[in-house]
Amino acid sequence: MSDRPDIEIRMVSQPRYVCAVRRAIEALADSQGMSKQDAADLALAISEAMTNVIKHGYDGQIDRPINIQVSPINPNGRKGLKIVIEDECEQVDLSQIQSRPLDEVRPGGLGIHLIERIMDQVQYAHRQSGQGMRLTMCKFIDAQKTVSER
Amino acid sequence: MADQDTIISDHQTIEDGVVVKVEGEIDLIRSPQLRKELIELLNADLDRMVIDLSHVTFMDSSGVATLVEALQIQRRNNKKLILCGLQQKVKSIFEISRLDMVFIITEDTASAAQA
Repeated sequence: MSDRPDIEIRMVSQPRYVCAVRRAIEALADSQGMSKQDAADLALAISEAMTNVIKHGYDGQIDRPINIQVSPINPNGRKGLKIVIEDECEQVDLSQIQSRPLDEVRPGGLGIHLIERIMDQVQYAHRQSGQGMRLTMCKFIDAQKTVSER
Repeated sequence: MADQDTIISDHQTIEDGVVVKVEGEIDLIRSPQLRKELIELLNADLDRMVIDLSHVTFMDSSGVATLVEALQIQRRNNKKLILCGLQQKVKSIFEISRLDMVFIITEDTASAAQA
């Protein structure tokens, strides 16, 4: 795959825009043959990732940049989608990006857990520019589900 | 979708509490309004609050956090909170976060009234 994504969305960190992005990616996943439930879960993961950037990375500021890149992938014949979310937040210690224990029943703190459970690959990194974070996520299409639903 | 609209579209009194119907997408934008509306109702000291989610098409972790807070309020007061009618795409977030083991979740409002 070339470095250029098939789809790129540049937006500001306005929470109102998150729903448009998740709906677009859910529709794309559906068109690529992902099951309805997996596409819905993927949309949830994207929503959580963007919410984390807005709430925690930008501390609720609504005018900061978020860049979303989406590309179909096919490593070793396994179809899927790769989504990259980049921001200009302050870089954080990567070891501190962890989900909380689920046996604590309390409001909040589920976003990272949801992302990690839904996506097949998740990688947080510091952007090479020295500013901002990059979250790279992949979700593969279950071949059997694809066949049975077509 | 407007963020100032009412999230609870309807509520009906039952013998020991209330059934509230929630509509639309419950996300970062709309969860604060849902929280406000639920807290107002919970202040009425209801023995049973049934939240009908059958018309909710999307829920993120902020929506779940709002419901967890409502559950905690009810439990502190030794009251019940029951969720019902979840579409599978909404049920999924409860399953992934294992909160389907924490909430009482029923198929519909009739079974929720008995749970």
